Amino acid sequence: MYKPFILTGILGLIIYGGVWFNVFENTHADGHEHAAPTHEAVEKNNTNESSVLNIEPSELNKDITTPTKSEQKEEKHVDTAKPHGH
Amino acid sequence: MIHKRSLKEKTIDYLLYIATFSGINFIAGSVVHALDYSLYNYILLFVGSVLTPSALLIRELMLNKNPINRDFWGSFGINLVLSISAGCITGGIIHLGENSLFSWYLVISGFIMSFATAMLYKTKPFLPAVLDYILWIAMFSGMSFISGSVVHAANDWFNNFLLIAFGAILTPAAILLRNKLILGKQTALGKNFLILLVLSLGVSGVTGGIIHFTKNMSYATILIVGGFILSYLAALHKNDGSLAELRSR
Repeated sequence: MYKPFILTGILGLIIYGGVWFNVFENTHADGHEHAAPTHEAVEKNNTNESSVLNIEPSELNKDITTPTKSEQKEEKHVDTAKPHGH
Repeated sequence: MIHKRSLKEKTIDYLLYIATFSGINFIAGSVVHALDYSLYNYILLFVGSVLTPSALLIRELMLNKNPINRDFWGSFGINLVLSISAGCITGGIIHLGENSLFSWYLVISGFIMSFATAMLYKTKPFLPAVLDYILWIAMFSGMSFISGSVVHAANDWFNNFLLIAFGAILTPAAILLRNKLILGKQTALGKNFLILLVLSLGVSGVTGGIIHFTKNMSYATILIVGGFILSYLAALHKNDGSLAELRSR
């Protein structure tokens, strides 16, 4: 007589485990639910980036392909170096 | 003298067989795909829950002419729990590549449920009962590995190929050992194993096609039509007894 109750109990635990598993699957390890970032949050984050890196907005538009004086000197040094021969 | 069945008897037996095992496959399939949260899945669960008991009732009343008593519902409940749990074990193994965590959950919970049922309602001493359980699960799993792999072949053939080979060895070996060690009877593996193999492939093609219909409709249609033809042709070759005897506990 007691056997169906044991099986029902095991089934109940399995279903409870399944529900817990489902909740666990949909949450971060720290317990917070997954949430897609809002458009405003993404925009705010982007505008803050230059200040975090301590770069002026005008600096970002500078042509980075033009070599500096020290870089030019280094390039020259490499050009004049003779290859090693045996 | 062995009674040779007519075409009508074979067809009724086949329809009841496919209804019984399709229902079990629908329930197990809807549990395995539970994380899809689709309406189609809930419908399958409902259809399976109605189909299997109805087909078994009709078999008992019409074919076997047995009265429906408490023992019938008792053995029906045990077989249903065992079959669905075994379906969850094999379904979990087949779907390991998709969602490994949930698949392991299915495998472990299916094992706990089936083992607890088999042990609570055992009619033999502990060790023979455990051996019987292992061999029955092995027989069921081998068949499900083959049929499940065919159903998933359109998505991932090469990973499934190993499961097909494993299932093809596991089932006949389990039937052979079970007949010899548990039932103590002569092993007539050849024809009956072939009928069971083709029948299971066909039934699983039908049910697997229906379960996965929304995922790949063209492949599912081929599986359903091909499965019906294959399983019916196999059913016609069973001249004596009933198809359900091939995979009874």
